Amino acid sequence: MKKYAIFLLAIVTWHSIYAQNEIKISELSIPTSPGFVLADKAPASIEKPTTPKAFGVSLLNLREGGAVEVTPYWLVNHPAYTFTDYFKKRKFPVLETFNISAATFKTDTTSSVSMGFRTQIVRLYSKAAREELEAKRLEIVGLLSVEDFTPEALEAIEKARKELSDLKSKITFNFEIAAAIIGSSKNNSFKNLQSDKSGVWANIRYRPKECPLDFTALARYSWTNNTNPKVGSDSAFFDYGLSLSFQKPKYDLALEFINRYDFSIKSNTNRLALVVNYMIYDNIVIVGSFGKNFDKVKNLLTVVGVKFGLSNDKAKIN
Amino acid sequence: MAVKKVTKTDIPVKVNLDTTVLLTVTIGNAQIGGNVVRWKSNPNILAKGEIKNLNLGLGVDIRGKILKVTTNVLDVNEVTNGIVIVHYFHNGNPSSFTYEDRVEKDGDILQLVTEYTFK
Repeated sequence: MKKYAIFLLAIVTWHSIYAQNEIKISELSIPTSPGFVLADKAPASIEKPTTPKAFGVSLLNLREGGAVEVTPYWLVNHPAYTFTDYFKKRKFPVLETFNISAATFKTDTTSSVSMGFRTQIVRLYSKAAREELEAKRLEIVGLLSVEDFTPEALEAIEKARKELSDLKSKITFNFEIAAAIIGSSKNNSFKNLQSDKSGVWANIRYRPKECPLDFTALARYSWTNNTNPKVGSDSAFFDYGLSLSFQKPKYDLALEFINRYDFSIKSNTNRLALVVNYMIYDNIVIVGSFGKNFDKVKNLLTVVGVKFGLSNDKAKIN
Repeated sequence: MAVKKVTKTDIPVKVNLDTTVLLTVTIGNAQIGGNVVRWKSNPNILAKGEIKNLNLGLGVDIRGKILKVTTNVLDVNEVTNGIVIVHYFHNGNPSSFTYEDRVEKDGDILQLVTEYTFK
């Protein structure tokens, strides 16, 4: 397993070195697998809705585990789906953002696996944003309407593409749902794999005009399974919270607060964390979160990891 | 930013003598593209930019001519590097030509040069 992980890292590093794209952190999205989020293994507990990858691999770090994700819609071509459709008509992009992921991670005693999905129910651009996108689209169409490209023309196209990418990332309102199930086996045997925890949640993102902050709200219901048959009832939790994030080309800072209500013991706990994503290279992001976790004791939260994106396509953090 | 060039020549399109032939170019996969359309024997450009219902003329007038369509597609879709271009000839047979390909990296350009011979 260790050899495999090192091999995978080598592939990721090789790919990242040779797939040199000048990109910004706002263009870099390596969405954390829902399985990581449900297991509280993700540095951020509130994930901004992001454009998923057609196919991607993300590793939190080699010791903790990794995830693989696929967006079936983009595994085939869509001849009639124009760019104008993207920002004008596709307000409910459920199918095109439906993303399935599988993750594996280690706990103190067992290895766990998870399956999850996420999809955007609503994606809206403001009228001003749509107008800006349309103007940029027309500019690019004009630049592309030539029989031969001069170096200057290619430079102008690249500049316009980056500006378009920036505009695309400025989605005004996003509503995303996700769900995951985690299973583990005490003796690491597939036959003894059993479900430990399940959860469903929604992320709602709002980006006010001319405001440097992004607001993402979370509502999540989760429950544990087969934890203690002698007690008779499993635990169930309701999490709700808000994340404020500030983004610059190379980094993303987010402050998140989540309150957790435990139905079985009728008690509240909370988490307050500062989450930092810093892009050190294309498709490689250092991520860390610091603060207080949900637990009542030993609740100091310090997670530092590296997120790798493995794909020919670009990833995204916004 | 790399430009991947693909050329397809001598593509036959049957036309009726008494009907007008129109050309529409669609760029799929939420990518962005631009076009230049002209007759191969004539340096003057018929149309450029987005091509929608471009009137190429009556079948009787264009039979035997070669239409050169240059379509450039920029990969702006961060989810996929897949490119799909559809050239649709209203009143042509076959009526549509679909070209599917991939570029290596985000931001790359695919240039498709096609030459249609009207018969």
